Amino acid sequence: MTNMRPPQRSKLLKVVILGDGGVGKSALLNRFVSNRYEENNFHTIGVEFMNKDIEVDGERYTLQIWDTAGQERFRALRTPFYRGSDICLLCYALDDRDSLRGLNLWRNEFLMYADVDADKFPFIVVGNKNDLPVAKRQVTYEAVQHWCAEQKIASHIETSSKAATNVTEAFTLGLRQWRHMECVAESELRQQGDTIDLTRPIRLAQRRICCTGGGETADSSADVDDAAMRSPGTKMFGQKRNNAKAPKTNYRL
Amino acid sequence: MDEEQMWKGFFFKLQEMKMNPPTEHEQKLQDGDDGFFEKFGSLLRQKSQIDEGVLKTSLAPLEESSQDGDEEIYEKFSPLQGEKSQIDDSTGAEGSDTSPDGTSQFSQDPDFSNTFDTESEQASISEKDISTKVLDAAPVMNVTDLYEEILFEIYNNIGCENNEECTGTLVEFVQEAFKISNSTHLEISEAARQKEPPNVRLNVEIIKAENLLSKDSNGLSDPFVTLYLESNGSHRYNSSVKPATLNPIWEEHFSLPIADNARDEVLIVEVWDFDAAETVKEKVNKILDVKGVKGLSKLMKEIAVTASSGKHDNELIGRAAITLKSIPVSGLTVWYNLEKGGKTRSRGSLLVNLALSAEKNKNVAVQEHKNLLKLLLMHELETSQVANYWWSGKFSPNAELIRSQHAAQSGLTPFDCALSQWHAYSTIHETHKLNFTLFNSILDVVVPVINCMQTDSEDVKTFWDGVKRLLPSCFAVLRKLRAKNTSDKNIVRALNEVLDILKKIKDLEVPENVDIFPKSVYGWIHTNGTDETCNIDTAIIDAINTGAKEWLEHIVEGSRQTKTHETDEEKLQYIIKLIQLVRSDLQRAMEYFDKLFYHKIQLNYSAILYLFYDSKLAEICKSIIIDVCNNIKRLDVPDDQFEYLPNIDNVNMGTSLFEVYLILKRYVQLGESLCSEPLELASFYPWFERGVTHWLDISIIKALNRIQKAIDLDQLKAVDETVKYSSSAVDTLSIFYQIKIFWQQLDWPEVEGSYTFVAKIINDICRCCIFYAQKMSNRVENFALIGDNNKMFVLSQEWCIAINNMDYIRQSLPSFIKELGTDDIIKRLGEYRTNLEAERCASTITAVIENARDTERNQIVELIEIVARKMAPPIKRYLAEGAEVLAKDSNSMDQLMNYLEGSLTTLYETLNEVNFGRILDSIWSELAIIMYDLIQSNLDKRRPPAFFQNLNNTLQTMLDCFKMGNIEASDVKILSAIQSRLELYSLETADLIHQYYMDRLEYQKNQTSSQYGQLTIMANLTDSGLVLNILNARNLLAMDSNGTVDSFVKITFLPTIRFNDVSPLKTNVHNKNCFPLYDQEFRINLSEPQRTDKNSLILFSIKDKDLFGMSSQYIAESYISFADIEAAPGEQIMMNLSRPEYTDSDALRALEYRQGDKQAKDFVKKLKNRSFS
Repeated sequence: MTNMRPPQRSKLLKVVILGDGGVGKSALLNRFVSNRYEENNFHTIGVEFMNKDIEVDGERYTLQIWDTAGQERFRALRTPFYRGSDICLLCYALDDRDSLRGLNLWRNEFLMYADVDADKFPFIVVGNKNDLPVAKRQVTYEAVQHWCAEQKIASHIETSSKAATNVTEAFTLGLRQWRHMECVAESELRQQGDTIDLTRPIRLAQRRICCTGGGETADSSADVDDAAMRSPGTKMFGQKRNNAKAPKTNYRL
Repeated sequence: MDEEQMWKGFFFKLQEMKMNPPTEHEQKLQDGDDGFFEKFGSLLRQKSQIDEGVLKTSLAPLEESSQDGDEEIYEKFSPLQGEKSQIDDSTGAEGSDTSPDGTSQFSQDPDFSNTFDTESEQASISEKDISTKVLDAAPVMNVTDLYEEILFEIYNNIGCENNEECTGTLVEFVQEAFKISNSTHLEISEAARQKEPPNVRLNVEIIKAENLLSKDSNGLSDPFVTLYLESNGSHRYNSSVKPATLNPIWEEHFSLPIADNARDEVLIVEVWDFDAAETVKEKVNKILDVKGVKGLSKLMKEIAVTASSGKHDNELIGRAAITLKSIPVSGLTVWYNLEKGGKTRSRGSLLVNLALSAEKNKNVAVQEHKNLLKLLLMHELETSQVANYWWSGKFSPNAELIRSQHAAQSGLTPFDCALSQWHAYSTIHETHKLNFTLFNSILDVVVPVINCMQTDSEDVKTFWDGVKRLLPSCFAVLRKLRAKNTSDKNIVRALNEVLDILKKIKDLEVPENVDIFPKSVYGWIHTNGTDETCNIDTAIIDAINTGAKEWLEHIVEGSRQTKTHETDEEKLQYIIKLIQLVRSDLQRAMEYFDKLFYHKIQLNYSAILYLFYDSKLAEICKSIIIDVCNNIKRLDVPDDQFEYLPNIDNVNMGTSLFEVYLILKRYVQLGESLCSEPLELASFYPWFERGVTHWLDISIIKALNRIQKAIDLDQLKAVDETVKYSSSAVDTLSIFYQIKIFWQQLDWPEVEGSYTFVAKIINDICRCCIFYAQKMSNRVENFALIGDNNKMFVLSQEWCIAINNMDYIRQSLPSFIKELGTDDIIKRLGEYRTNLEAERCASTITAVIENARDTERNQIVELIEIVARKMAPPIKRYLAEGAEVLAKDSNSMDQLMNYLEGSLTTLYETLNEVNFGRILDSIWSELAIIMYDLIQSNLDKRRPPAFFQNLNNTLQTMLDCFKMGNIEASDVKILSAIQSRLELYSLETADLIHQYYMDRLEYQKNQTSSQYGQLTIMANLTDSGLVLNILNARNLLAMDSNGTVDSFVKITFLPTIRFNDVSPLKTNVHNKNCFPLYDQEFRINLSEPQRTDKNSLILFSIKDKDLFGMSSQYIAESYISFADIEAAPGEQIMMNLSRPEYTDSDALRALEYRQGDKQAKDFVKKLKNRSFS
């Protein structure tokens, strides 16, 4: 009969991209969101924000991505945007040894201002400019792996915004990592069982549901087993819905 | 509604509200967070505006200062009133300033003026020390000699003033002025009377000595020179004492009368070490006790030294004997080795200039004149108790007479007199300040002559010596412009004179060997470590800077708390006070002094001051502000989930930091208008970055809490009759409004930071909007839960208000964000960076806003859907009730219409067009669901066709009444589908059966091929009936065992009820042929109504005649409507044959539901038989 769009639900995740100035954070975002590459060198001013819908393993996500300026002078200005992040991309450039060293600082800055548990937060280390000739390469894959192991960061990927390699993969990797962390957190919570203090909100994992097109409330997807994990508010900030109007029931005569 | 207009209207309202004191509601709301937003928004603005106002009024120009007559000044300086009057004046001047608050920026600090006084006291004490030295060094004549000279002049007065009486008064006056005891007076008077004017004089200048033998324990000596003629050893001439030196410079002149036997005379020049052990001070003190005039006492000290020369225990350093015959007429300058008792040990040497003249040497006369002026002025000051800075050159008549006599008798030119005055007055000025106008007028006489003189002439030296004495006090005026113990008026006057003096002096060439800025006096002069020559211009700037420095140091100390551990708040208050004070000072500088400085010496005074303060303040402020900002504790800011609202009890922030920010900002603006140089303070704002960030963090927490509170307090009643939203919307927007004011005040100067902050603010405001929508939605949902169990849902105003509130906030968002100045920031970003970067920033802002607006819209739509869902049960009930009753007079319909009308009227009146449209859509969607449910359940209940008929009528009525033609396409389809379904169900069985046939015809037409074959006919409607030709059939299904068929066509007219007078027709049977050629014509008479009903159908059933001819077997059938026949008269029509296997007919399904109806039951049964045969 009428072609009703089935209610679609997508999770809403906040992603922050960090890294030294000039390692290609904005280029990565641009390639990911609009599949464009800007040859001109430009600087991000303070922060930039973009939305992107992505489907991973059959689940739909809406990523709200905050790109930050790497220059030191923007420090006080960008840090307020860290809070509430679900995923953090730590970027370096393959042709810049210093940018890898900088990751430590970035990670610490993020941990401090986002106020999250370092071991339970999905960091993704992204090496940009993979398209450069080998001769220009200053950072080996192994060196980064080593650093990641030290920091207990599981996800590392080399990308090229220019050649459009591994860009979506980097974000997908982030999502998977996030989901993994989420599962770990949930199982831990279950183990703790009844001893959970309900008055204390759980900070480490964000559970947000974004309804695209449908009007279903998020209750059904909230973890019913665990009251502490259920979010009281059903609709979340910034949820993105394309059509405003959609009747609840599909009827067929 | 036009958003712009709405927004404007809202702000107008807000402004209006802000003008009034907060209402009880606002009070309640603000109590929660101590009025956080108001504090930082409008109140902060108000405060800084008031500050500004205070600053301005406090420094309003002095009233009519230029018009004040001299008389007032006389009063001010009148000796009778003395210091007291000055204090009165200064307070009076302050009082006349309209704002008591303003000038008391200074006086608020009671220490300030006092401390400053003390300081200036100390300064002047040290100056006195200095001047003591200077005075000691000054050439001084034996007072008795001068006395004798003056008496001599009086007795030999020239001019008309000469008479006995006058002489007597003058002598008395002089005796008093010179402080000569009576016995001495008689002695000297006698000498003067008997004195014959000498013919020849020996003019001696004692220039200097070198390498003198040290006589004192400190390795130095305090040398002075005594000279006398060997023939007249009792008449000695003494020079001044040069304390603590082995290389004294005297440059003093002496004129010795010489007797006739001049050529045999020997001049003895002795250098003595003055023995300080015999404490001259004691002697001086004695005189001090008696006289009490400071300046005079100084002179008396010198006198005392000279007078006691005969009795002292001074030690002789060495002497030289000069025979006069060795002196040429032209004179000579010679070094003499000092000797004592023929010992060979070197005792130093003395440079002496010797000349013989018949006349009194001019130098001597000038020196006499100087000393005379000093004595007279001392006397004058003592007798009439002239206040400091008052005396401007007017002697008493007696003194004036004596002065002019001396000038005349010594043959002094006006220039000589002026120069003597210059020197004498400047010397006195060192201890007792005279009026600067005096010096100004003397300069007018002296400067033109000095300008033409050789730089090494005596007069030039004298002039510059005077300059040296005068300048410190001039610079003191520059340095002490801030002293509060004199009124502004007097300061301005003094400054005016001083600048004139400086202007006149500064263009003169300073002789090479004159150091007018001795380090000992000008400790404050800023030397860059090198001996860079300072001139008056640089000294003026140094004086200005030093004045500023001293004052700043004072207020820095004075404003600072004495506590070792200041709170951040105290530190900030300290900065505020400091900058306010400095600003007041600058304001004063601009209003009172700038003009003078610029006109007189082309200096931008306040700019110099500003530059001086700039670096100092930057240093002080930077460290404190950064320190304070670093002390700010980070907050637990809620993330986007709003899972919980953080406790706000301990989250707070004083406004002081931003008061500092604002005051600095204004201060820098002032500086930029004053100075062209880059200012250190101009980069003040990065110090505040953390503070601003922190404020933003707090404000989001506070805003969320306040929104929650506003919603809790909201009665969901329109704030007034002109609007359709309630208090919480207003409260929420006023939070935004306050944030906006805060942001506007902040007016962050740097564009990139500005963008980032505004991005954060927008993000936060968007979060607030969404939060509001969520909470408002929850509120009204909960609201409906109460007492809503079984009662019928009544759509209330509250729901609409809630929807309006949400929509209101949502619609306000873009224009509100525009008001934050985002367009301008983007534009500036484009200029500062590139357009690409600016565009990216712009799209970031847009993305954030659009996200929020989308979410809010979803929230609204969801709420609307809830409303529609809640309306569904009553609608359903009314519909069912209405349809149940067969009679049309049931009032259920009316009730339904009333219900709908009531609800929709409320909605229409309260909601805006967009949301009304939305809710209509939702209601119709709900209606579709209701209808569907009703149809389904009542079909199951086997309701009679009338039930559906009624339902259909009701639906039609509702559509007619409420559908505004703006329903979305999908809804139209749904509703028309429901309508056609209802029409079907409301048909009588016979009609339903015919509908089934119609469906079959439709199906048949859509078939492209058939397994049952085709039938071709030709038909023509005539005036009397129908001419029907059954032509042939093709591909008939083989029914017999031999693979063929014995077929005939049975012709039936439908509906049977209409054609019950027409008997069924049959063709002949065509045996064993699957392609039979019937070619048989029928002429059927039909009545007029039978002919004209286009719906009428002809059913052609092809049957197989069986062997026995008893019954025939059904093969297939086809249909044609009269409409089809009419469309193709006389043409061959080929029709596909079909069987009733096609069951997807709504009519058939409806028939199946009518199990209680025999006709329907039979029909369905027959149909089934046929299809399965």
